[in-house]
Amino acid sequence: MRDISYAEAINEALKEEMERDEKVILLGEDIGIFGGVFKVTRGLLERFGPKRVRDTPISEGAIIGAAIGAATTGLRPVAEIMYMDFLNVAGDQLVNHAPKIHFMSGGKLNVPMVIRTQFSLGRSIAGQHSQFFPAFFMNLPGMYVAVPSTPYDAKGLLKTAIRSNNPTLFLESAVLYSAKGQVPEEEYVVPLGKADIKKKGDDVTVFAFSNLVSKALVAADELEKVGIGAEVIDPRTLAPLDRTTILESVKRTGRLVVVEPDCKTSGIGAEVITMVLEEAFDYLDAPPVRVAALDTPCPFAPVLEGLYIPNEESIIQAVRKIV
Amino acid sequence: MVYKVLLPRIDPAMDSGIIAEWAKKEGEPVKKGERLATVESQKAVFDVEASESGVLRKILYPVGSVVPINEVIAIIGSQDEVIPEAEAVKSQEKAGSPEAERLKVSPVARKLAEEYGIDLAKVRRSGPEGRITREDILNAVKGRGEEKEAPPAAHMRNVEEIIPLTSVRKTIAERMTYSHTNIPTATLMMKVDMSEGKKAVQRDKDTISYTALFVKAVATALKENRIMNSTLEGDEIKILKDVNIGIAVATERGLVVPVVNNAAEKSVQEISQFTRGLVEKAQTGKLSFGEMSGGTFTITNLGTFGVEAFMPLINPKETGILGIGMIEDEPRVTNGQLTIRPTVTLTLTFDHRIVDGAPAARFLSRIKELLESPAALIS
Repeated sequence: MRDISYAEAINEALKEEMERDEKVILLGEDIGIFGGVFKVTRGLLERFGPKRVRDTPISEGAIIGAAIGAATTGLRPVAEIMYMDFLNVAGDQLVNHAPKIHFMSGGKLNVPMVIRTQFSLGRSIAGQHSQFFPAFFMNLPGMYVAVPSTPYDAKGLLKTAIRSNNPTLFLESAVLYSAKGQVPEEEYVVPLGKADIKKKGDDVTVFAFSNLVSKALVAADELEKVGIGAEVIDPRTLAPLDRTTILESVKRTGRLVVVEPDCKTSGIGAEVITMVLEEAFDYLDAPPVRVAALDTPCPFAPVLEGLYIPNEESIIQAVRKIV
Repeated sequence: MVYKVLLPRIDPAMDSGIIAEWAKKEGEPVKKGERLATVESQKAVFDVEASESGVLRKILYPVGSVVPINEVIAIIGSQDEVIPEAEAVKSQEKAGSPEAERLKVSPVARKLAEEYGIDLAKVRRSGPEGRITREDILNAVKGRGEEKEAPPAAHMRNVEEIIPLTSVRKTIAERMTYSHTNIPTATLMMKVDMSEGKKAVQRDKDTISYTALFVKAVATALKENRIMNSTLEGDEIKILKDVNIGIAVATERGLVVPVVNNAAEKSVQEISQFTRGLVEKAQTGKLSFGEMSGGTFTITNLGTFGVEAFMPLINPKETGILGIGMIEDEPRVTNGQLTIRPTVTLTLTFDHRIVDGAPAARFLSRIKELLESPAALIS
């Protein structure tokens, strides 16, 4: 084990999978010569050459459209979209085609494609560069959605996603790129659809993902000091969602708080809580609570953005409301 | 037009009331605002007034009935109007009882209560917003095991009379059981020389009472010893801002506790006048809920019955209670001289979870000091 950053872990995953399988290729804006605007693809062009690491024009529709074409005809493309906000430009390719081709071809075609992108919530770059709307993609059957919170998970999940025959949306948190964590030197993978219990506890289940996992863990440590045991569950992928782990935990604790960096209304919490109400109503000892971003475009001013995103304190308050 | 008279809820803890009296008979005319009935709740006695003018056509519950809140208790209409059947009115109103009155029970608590056969109405409501939680049910299940039937008497006893518990009695029973079971108490006793106090009361009999002196002394000492004016909630001791002294008063119905709000800010004369009014109201059952709520510390006096000293039980949610004994001439040695002094024994029972013996003793000696030199209290 050694400490490496989230960005380095993703870079390692790409490198290892490209070495392992020559069908793995990269495409995206400024990923080659420039090494990616967040330097995640640094050194890959030099190592694997321009045939496998392609800088593209500024056209998200072309990037994802080309990736779909490559995937259906035998390659394993990893496309990078610079900001999650820009996925919307490629709506037709992303929504109408990528997740549907396998089904509509009667299973004859697969789309083994990964779309890597990052959301910049927390970097004070305003409403059109800070959006995080993962719930939208949970509503797209056929699309996998990964939301890693640690370098370990980011590397292991990306390797699995590249080997998967399903299209996978790989949502990286830009504020986590420099965060360091333990990552083994030897090969490992993390399965898609398997949640990780980041901390054990008996009094309340705290469901948190991506950049809010570390905040939930700080909150859980604070709560422990006042005798409240919070179990922090990181789903790692939102689709497939590991319902079993969530349900087992809630059945034990009787209480659920969902912490989500997306907007509250019709967000991830709405889905997770409804699922729990359907499956474990008789185990609940308190009404579930959502701690989410506000239902407004993300503000530019850092102070306002700080109020917009859930933090340790709002998580603690939510837990104390029901415990 | 037919008007239904509902049993109102006069305090948040009330779930039912007992009809104590009907002031009007069926067929009698009533005016809007006139007293229709007197109802006894768990905590107070209050009047139900006619909501509209007309004729009291139907009384649905006779005197002595226990009636849930928001239930129709009478119907007012015109002299010869057709009124609905009593039973139809009752069930109809029940079905439409407002959402706010619903008992809050968590899903798991409801399921467990069903499994264990626990009556939800009788379970403690410890969760946020008074919700019954899993823990409450499990505690009730545990308690059930312990609460065994009293052992049968060795021989049959002849029961002469059966007295059903009134709601006041039931409330006292619940609160005292809670207090005795849940609050670890310690008790301190102190003798107080009442020479000066007695002089003051005798000098101004009409304006100064012993009760008022005790109330003022306790309130003043509480202001200086804030920890005694607190309440324990979970992991937090909450120091209360207001100092409101409850005075335990014996009535025919049982013990009630009217409250003197902000007693430290009132003069002894004001408190005297006020407490006389409260005690009279308590004895005639006329206290409103407001006059009995908000207490932060209680005093109780059994001296008039010749009791020298006694250990009272804490009124739950308060930190202490002061028992006042009889004021009696006692021999005392003062400056090497044997003197005869009017003396009272004060007994402070306090919640040892909140406060330790030494600070409680400081509080009690401050009361003693104030009572022994009452000039500061009276001026």
